[in-house]
Order: sequence, then C-alpha cells, then structure tokens
Amino acid sequence: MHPRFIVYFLIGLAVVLVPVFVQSNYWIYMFTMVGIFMVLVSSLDLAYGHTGLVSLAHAAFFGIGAYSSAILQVKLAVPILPALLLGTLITAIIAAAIGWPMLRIRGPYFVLGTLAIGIAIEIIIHNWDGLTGGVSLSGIPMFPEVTIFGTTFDLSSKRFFYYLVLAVLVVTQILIRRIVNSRTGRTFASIRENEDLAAALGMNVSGYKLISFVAASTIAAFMGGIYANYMGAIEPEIAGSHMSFNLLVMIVVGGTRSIAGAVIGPLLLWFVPEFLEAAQIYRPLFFGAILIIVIIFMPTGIAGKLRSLHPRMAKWIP
Amino acid sequence: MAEFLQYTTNGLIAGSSYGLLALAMTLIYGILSVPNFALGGIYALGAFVAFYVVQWMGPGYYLFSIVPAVVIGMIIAIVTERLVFRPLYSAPHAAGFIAALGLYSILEGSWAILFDPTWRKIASPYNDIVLQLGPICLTMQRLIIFVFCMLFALATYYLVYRTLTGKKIRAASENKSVAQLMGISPFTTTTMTFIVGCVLVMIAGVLDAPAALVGASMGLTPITKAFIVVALGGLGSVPGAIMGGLILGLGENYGAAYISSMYKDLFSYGLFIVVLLILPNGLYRR
Repeated sequence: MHPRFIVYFLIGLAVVLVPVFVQSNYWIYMFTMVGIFMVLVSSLDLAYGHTGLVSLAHAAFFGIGAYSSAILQVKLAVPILPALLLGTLITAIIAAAIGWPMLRIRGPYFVLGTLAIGIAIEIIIHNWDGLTGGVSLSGIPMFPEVTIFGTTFDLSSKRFFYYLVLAVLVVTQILIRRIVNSRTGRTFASIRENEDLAAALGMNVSGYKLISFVAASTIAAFMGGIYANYMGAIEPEIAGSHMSFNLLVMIVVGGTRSIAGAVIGPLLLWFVPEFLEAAQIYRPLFFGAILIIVIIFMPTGIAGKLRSLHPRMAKWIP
Repeated sequence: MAEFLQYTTNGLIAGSSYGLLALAMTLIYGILSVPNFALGGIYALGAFVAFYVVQWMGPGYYLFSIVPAVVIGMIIAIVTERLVFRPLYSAPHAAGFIAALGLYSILEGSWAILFDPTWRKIASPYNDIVLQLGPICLTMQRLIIFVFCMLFALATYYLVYRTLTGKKIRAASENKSVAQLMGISPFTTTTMTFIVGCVLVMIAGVLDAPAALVGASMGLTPITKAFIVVALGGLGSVPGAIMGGLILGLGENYGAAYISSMYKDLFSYGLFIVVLLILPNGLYRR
C-alpha cells in the first residue's frame, strides 16, 4: 500500500475532527463555505476538466437550485427535504432544457451562450420579485430538531452543516470518480480531446455532452439547496456571472481533472482572501492576474504542475 | 406609426454602438481565433477618459477626449497583445478565451480601484440639446453616437478592404501560415489589428459615456452583446458585425417597446439563441 494513503487518512481524520476541536463559529463557517466551493468546483470540473465544456453558467444552476428549494419552503411551505430534492430536480430539468440547444453549438459560441444564460438568469431572478423576492429572499427555515433513540440532535446548528457539506463533498468525489472511470467517462474524455473524431467514431457527442452538463448542474443545484437552508437568506448574485467566473478561475488555477485541484482552487482563491480579509475591491484584479499567469505558465493548473514535476509526485496528487 | 419610427431610431442608434464594438471584436477574432472579452474593460476605460477630460477641462472638451482615448487605446493594445495574447498563440483557443476573461477581470478590477467603483454621469453639452425631426425625438448626443459610430465603421471598412494593411490583416486572418510564407508578419499584423480594435472600442466608450452611467463594470453587458453580434454576423466578417449590430439594436428596442422593457437585455440573448438554432454559422459566411 502506498504511503500516500496514510497521509490521506490523517487529513481526513483532521477534517472530521475539526468541529470537535474548533470552538469559533467563524472558523466553522469558513470551513463549511470552502467545502461548498469545493463541491461546486468539482462539479464544474466534470463539465470543464473532463468533457471540455467551458461553462460560465455553473453558478446560475447553483442559484436556481438554491432559489427553487427556498421558494418551495418559503412560499409553499414544503418541508425541507422534499423541497431540496424537488428543487434539485427542477434545476436538472432546466439545465437539460437549456443545455439541449446550447450544447449543439460549438466552440466560442457555446461559451458565449453560457455567459449569456448566466447573466440572463441573474437578471430574471433579480427582476421577478414576485417569485424570488427580488434583491434578497429570506426566511428560509433551519433544519428542525430530530430525536433518535432518545437523543435529540439539533440539526439547526452550523456544525451539523459542516458535516453535511463534508458528506456531500465526499459523495460528490466518489460519484465523479466512478463516472470518470466508466465508459461514460471515457466518452467524455474523447469529446474533450477531439470532438470531431469522437463523432466520426460514432459516439453520441451531443447526448454525452448533455449528460455531463446536466450532471454537473444537478450537483451544483443540490449544493445550492443546502446553501439556501444554511444561509437562511439568498440573493441573486449567487447565480451571477461573477460567481461563475470565480468558479472557473478556481478550477483553472487549482488544476483540472484532479481532486487536489478542486481543493486547492477554493482554498487559494476563497479561503486565503477571506482569511486575509482582503477587500472585495481588490479581488477581481487579483483573480484575473492569477488566472492569466496560470493559463500561460501552468495550463494544467497548480495540481497539474505539481504532478509534472516528478513522476513520483504524480502519485501523491489525487 | 410615429412610435415605430422612434423605436427604429433608438434601435439604430443603440445598434451603431453595438456594431462598432462587434467590429472590433470580429477583427481580433479573425486574426487570433480568440474572442477578446477584455475589450469590455477597454470600453469602460474609454468612458473614464471622457469623464476625466470633462472633469478637468470642462464639458466643452468632451469631443476632444477622443484624442487621448485613441492614444491610450493604442498603448493598451500593444501592452495586452504582447503580455497576454502573444504567449498563447500556439495554445488551444480555450486558453486564449480564458486569458481574455482574466484580462477583463483585471481591467474591471483596476478601474474600480483607480477610479472608485461608484457609478457616475458625464456632463456632455450635447446631452441637453434635443432635436425634433418630424415625429422623432432624440438628443444631439445620441445623434453624435450614431454618426460617429457609422463614420468609424466605414473608416474601418475602408481600412480593411481598401488598404494594404487591411489586406495583410485579411490574409493573416484567413491563413496565418500561408500569409507568413508570403512575407506577412503575423506578429505585426496582430498588433495592428489589436490597435484598430482597441481604438474603436475606446471611441465607443467615449461616445456612449454621456448616454449611460459610467462605472467599472459598464463594459460587461455591451461586450457580451457585441460577442452575440459577432456570433450572429459571422466570426471575422466585417459587414456582418456592422449589420448584426444594427439588427440587434433594432430587435432589442422593438422588444422593449412591444413586449417588456424590464427584460430588455434579455432580448439580445433570446434573439441570439433563436438565430443560432436556425443558423449555426451566423448570418454571413466568413
């Protein structure tokens, strides 16, 4: 057994034990949020890193997932779990509806389309205030208390959300791994490498692109629903093009097709600036500069660069 | 009928501005195969140049601000081409596009830091003069926008189709390697194209500034629409960009007038999707 598994185990152990040892709610919040970003970035990686779809609409589906679940709970008094699942389903359908015409379009047109969709959805959420509460939608309920075997669990605690996000992150990684190593995943890879050749070989390129796009969007939507309950209030910006751009920067800088990349991206580009309390105003400049430096000098991202340093290193970066 | 003429006028005015931006983008795309999204940040810079010239020298100098705008546009063109796009000549096109996004972010962020992120208005003397041409009502500023955009578009058309430099640009756009064999340097041609594109965009920024709010992120929506125009008009096609811009402006205004003005920006996106489904290669072939 390779020694790296010991390291992974220790890291995993530390991550699980964080809420036990960390008292400050602020840090729990920071870790939970960075976990949410990791889920979003991993799902984007499925569409971008593995299938080659540059999507600037990823945050839009995160937002739609959040808003669908929230609206069901706030306006229609649907209980939390059904609202979450229903919201995810609704978003998946929307993603399929949007993706189907979009994915037939090639190259820069497609990216433009996703950008247009991203901007359009933010505008719609913002303006349709009868449905979405306009500038912000609040009053999203907390998880209730659950009593099992005589012990009452207060699921409304922020610590519970930490574990929930962690669980989603782990399940997402397992899910993505299984997809990528399957026949579907290999089809994604051929589409990424040479779409025309894949089509010429008889692969259903549009169909598989749709699967990748919808799968990525669905994961983001599910995370969105959880995010809505976590925050209690949401605003249209979470679905916007700035957010989508940030996610794209995270995956490009962190490294595509790599779990380490999906971890490094949010840590470097969200956790560090938040931790340093870097003013919001400096971030676009910083993000843009890092993006350009990385894309010129390290196109495979930080994770890719680390892997390429030495053959032995590649084993250590998952 | 009178309203229809008014909407048509508004549409043509907005469309001329989109056309100019689209023209810049299509020229750069033709030679680089990368949609230069950073032009949005340059557009905002043009508006800021106009703002500060007016602030420091008075509203009378508004039109004069085109001069510094052109100069700054040239400098920015050379700098960005050298630093950002040249290293990516041989990289896959997605890399260039991502770099352009990064560059846009840098520009927008810089303007917010340097010029303060608050939105503001420019006092142009032409904003206050209102003309009445029969049933149509428009400010002098908007007439200037239309006239100047059309003039510069025609000037660019002349440059691209009637001069030697333009021929080089067209040759390099069609086939870089063969152009190189013919003695056309892809480096200088690309730099030339960048200069033309950035200057056009700076001018568009100066012209549009008094008719809109000036702010660091003012370029995002126009550049997205310009991108849509280029996609519709055919990537690399000059007449396609100009015609497409006018059509988009008209479509947007008719939509806002007859359907809903709150979702005005969405019409461009809707139009885009509808047209792309029918004509995946746009209106004009390259």
